[in-house]
Amino acid sequence: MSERSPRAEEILDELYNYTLDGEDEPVVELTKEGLEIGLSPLEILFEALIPSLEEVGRLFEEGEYFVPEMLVAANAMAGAMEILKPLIAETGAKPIGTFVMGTVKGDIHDIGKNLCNVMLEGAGFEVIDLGVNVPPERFVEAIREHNPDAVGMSAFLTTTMPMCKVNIEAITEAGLRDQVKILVGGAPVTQEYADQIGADGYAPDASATVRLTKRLLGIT
Amino acid sequence: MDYQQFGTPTQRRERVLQAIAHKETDFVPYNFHAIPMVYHKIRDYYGLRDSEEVADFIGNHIVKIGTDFNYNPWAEEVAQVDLTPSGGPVHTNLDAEGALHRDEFGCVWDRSSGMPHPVAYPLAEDPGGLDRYQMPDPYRPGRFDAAKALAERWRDRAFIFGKLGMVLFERAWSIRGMTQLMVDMLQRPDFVHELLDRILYEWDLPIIDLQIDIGVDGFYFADDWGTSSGMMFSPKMWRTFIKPRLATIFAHCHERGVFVGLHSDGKIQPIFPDLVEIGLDIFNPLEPAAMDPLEMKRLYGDKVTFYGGIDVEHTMPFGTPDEVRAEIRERAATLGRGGGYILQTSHQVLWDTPMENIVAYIEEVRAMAGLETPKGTVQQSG
Repeated sequence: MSERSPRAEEILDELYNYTLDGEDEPVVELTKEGLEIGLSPLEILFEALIPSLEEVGRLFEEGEYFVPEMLVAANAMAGAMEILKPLIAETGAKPIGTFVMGTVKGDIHDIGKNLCNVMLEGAGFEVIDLGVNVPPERFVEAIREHNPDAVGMSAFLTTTMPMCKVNIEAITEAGLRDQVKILVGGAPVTQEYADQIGADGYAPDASATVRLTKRLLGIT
Repeated sequence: MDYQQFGTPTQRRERVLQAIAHKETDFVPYNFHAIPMVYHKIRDYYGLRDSEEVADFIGNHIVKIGTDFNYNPWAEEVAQVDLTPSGGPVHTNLDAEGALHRDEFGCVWDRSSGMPHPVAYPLAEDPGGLDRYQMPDPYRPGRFDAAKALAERWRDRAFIFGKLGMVLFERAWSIRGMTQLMVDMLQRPDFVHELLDRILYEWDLPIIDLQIDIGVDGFYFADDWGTSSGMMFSPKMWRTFIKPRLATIFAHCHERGVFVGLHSDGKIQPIFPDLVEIGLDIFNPLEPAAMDPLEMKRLYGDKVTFYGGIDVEHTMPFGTPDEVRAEIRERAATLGRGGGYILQTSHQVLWDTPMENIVAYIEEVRAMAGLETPKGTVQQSG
């Protein structure tokens, strides 16, 4: 690691803290300043933003943080990512995997799904977000089109949760089941349910989604 | 068919009042709560006239006026109203049309799939627009015609609840958008306070008074702050934004001499002591997937009357008829001890519940009232 100026160290610390507090404007300003004084996009990402969002995830799991705190932190991170993403692409760094994500048919809840997207992108995945109310055939098409490593399905309601099973059946029927890992999540979903419908895994929240995806894909 | 033979109807209202007073009655007061489609299936099965006769046949102890349908309670262009007495008038014509529909508050709902969902919010882009934002007129002529008629038909025959869904948080997000509102709660608290105050004073309180004027025994509110995994926002935030306003509403109802009931989904245990503190009388749904009914009874059973508790997510759709009967007997025996319990499914029985489980429910609650139930007139279908 090359020597960093004290200001560079300070910026990484501040980025970590402002992201944790969800203050989007300072995060954007600090990201710009960091790049100007010679921090690399990957340093900013891996030494400030991702550790901060991991801490957000931990605080959520511990019941310190709730959805609003997660949302503002994710917004702050998204602001920085807008600046960093093109720069990271320029360096030729490849995404560590491709992830197709969607909220199941009949369900329009997208807060949890969007948080997963930010965390996955932050962790280096390319995320293809199909949005909400996604019918089974759309999942199938997206797998054909993007050839992802993993597919995530979110269901917030007990009444829409059965769509996870329908989606998996559609993917199996299309002969695509073996080429993707399938993750399910959302308020009513449980590990038991995931096992029962033949998903590869269940994640209770956004940071768990990242950990699980990496584990399923053998990424360390 | 003589379907009113179990106790005089007056005794049903009295039984609920006794339960709220935490006194045991001859049997636990109960209700059946379902979507209109399920009511229609029962009507056809037993050869009854309409949904109100179904409610009477089952022996429902509670009727809700106002409306039960959170997602489109105040449509202006209502042509058809389906009176499902356990839930109040439900506007069905818009479901049938499956169109985009703008409610009186300016929130646009997509009603083309089973669950109506919001697709546009009047203040989504600009919280500054609140200054110019017009709340709908609670005093619009004809607003409570159906509710009034329903109350008149059931007066003294059941415990009558006035009803207001989307009371604070839900109304606010239907105006601003859920994600945006949650961000505002952290970053624009003044805006959230102003929006909630306008909802409270320009809509909620007038709507409450108008229904109390019709003559009700209690007032039933609905607002969700929890999910099956926990609170959506922190208890601290709830105490900042929701609690003081809910306390105003509860106190107002009590001043006007009516009990307060609240429907709130999910794991909201962290704020339950607060609800008790501000005077909650009746709590629904007592959803077994989110809270242990016996534990809730142990902790708060001396102060609050629980209303619900029969598992509509597992037992009703997936259990056997015997499991449905067993759960009803178990809940009545345990939660009914010392009064303070009104038996009902935690939520509305949906289309996913097999007819034999619905029949088991009906037969079992009627059996509690000492009644045999005739077999249905049409073939059961799953």
